[in-house]
Amino acid sequence: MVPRRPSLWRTVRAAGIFIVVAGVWFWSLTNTFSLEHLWDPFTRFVAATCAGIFRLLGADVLMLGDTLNVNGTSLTIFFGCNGLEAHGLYLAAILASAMSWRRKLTGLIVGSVAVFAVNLARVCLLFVAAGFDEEVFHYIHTVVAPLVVILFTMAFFLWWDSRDVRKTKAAVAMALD
Amino acid sequence: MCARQKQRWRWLWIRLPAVAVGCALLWPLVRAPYVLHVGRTCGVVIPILSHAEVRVNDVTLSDRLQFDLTVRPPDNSPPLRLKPAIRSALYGLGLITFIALVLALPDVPWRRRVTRALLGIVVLHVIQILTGLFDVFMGLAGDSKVPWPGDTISDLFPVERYFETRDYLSLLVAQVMPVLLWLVIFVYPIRRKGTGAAPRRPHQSRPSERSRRRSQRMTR
Repeated sequence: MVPRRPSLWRTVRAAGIFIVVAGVWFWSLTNTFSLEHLWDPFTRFVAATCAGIFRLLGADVLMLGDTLNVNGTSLTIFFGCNGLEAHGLYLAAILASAMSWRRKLTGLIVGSVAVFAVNLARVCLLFVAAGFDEEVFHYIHTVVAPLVVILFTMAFFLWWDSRDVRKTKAAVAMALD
Repeated sequence: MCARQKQRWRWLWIRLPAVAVGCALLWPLVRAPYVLHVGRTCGVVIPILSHAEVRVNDVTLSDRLQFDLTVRPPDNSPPLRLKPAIRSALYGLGLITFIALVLALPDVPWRRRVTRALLGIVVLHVIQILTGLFDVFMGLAGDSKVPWPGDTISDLFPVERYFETRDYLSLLVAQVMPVLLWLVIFVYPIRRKGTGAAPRRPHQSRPSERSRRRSQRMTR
């Protein structure tokens, strides 16, 4: 029988991993090299995908770098709109969790695609909100939209984590039988 | 995991947005007292950390948190009136994120949920006060037009670096800290396989004496 280790230690360890991973991720968001070679192309990719979605919906789209003009409404996709914060939070949460490495890797791939999709939805909705009052747009832009993306990201992590616990419980129940 | 628990996890996808919308609707009502409390607490600490004699005349809230300071320089020159302002929009994001995550998490007894949520809110509030202080001092130290005599925080942190990373610092406090607190308080304390006990989240209730006896009978 493996001796029981205190859960406090496990929590501290997980929090440490989360802080280190999130710290490195957020540092990379301010680093010139990673900005030029990774995150700027990623932001342009987000803008291009949004433009593609609007074109599919039949809108008039003009794209100039990170700036999109959809039916006369012009918005620039900056940092904070590209969803990299949510990706970083998800990466840190998954790596710090108590899953197997295989499950972590699968979760990272599936979750990153899901977070990317939700962020695209956020950017598209911001174009819709831009048509409303400026104050409403500001509130949606700074509070509601980031909130939705973070909550979705963490809900996805929680769901993925709970499925792992379910499997572990099933394995323990089988072992007891 | 029983069918009822599975259903609860499915409900997470409905409950989380519902709770978030509820919190976002309530936030405009709580915003002024909450953000002003952050500002007034900062106002109490600003004179302690400043190198010169500082008096905080007023703290007001519009779209930003506005401070009104009177600074008496150490060289007996006439007192200065400074009005630094800091962004306050992201304070709400941090608080709403944390509360929504806490309320939406399934399988947590309400008493434990409330006590731990209060703990998290207090920690988050303290972090927001520290960030507010940081923003005020860095803003004053970095403004070349303001003859700021200096403070303990800007002595320790390079102002140029602050202006490069300011947006990310506020995002860290608004997005990373609530998630980290939630994970540490509610999610990560989990037992894994091979630890001598069935995996169980500590926020869930302990198995009853009856179920423990039943599992002992099964293993015999």
